[in-house]
Amino acid sequence: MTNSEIRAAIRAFLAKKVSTINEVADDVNLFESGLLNSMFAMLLVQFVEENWSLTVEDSELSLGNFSSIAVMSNFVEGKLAK
Amino acid sequence: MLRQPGEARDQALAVRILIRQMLESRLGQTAWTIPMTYAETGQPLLDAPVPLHISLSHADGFVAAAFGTAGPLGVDVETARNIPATPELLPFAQRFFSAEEYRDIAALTDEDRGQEVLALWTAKEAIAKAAGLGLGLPFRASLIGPPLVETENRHDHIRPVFHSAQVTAVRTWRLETEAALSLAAAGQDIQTLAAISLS
Repeated sequence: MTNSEIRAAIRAFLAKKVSTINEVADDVNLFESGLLNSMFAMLLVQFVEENWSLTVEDSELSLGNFSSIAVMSNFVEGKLAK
Repeated sequence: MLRQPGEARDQALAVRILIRQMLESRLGQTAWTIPMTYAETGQPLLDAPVPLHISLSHADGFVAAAFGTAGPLGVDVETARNIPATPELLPFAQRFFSAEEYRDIAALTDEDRGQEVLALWTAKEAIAKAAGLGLGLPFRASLIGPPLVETENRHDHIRPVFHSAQVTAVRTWRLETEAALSLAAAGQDIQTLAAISLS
């Protein structure tokens, strides 16, 4: 799966929460901008785990890995490559 | 705590105005000119002569702010609309709560299950904020004990926290039927938490 396909899947999931997600650039920090909160971060973690059959370790549970669409996509791409 | 409908960005601004208004009532007009900074852990701080620890939260029309001088604190508000749908509640609880918490939640009715997930989640998030851990809190650990103080309202309770010497208790309120608010404060004892009233 390519990075752009991962981004598209993450965008589709985020669209459930953020109606204006199409206006948000890939590198925008979704939490600092107030678009998402930590509850949704956990739902994102759950989505990532289920959608790509991978496990996010507790040590990887940080907003640093889920702060933007670009960061999340790179994180998932890295996990899939292992 | 106040109700502020609107987009998330509007609420993020509203919660910053709320904390300034709260401080103004205690400190006077100077509260509006104190710069907001952030600790290394991401916790907001107001650079007043006596450092003021503050915590802000907003979700779906609810905005909440808390401040104190005794030590870091954490406030978190969350609404039923933001938690997983009923069929997904149990997998969520299994993933992010302790085995004991999951068992307790699984034994509840659908409606009570949602309320308990809200209460537990806000409690853990408030603890994470007070401890400066963010998502780094071991959410699956057994961190919270049974209610310590019986109150007239069973949806308003204080529970002990087994995380650190600093954060020892968390108080949770149910707001109407659709939201929960929790406050964890470092350096505060149970009596202090019990004396707090929402305004």
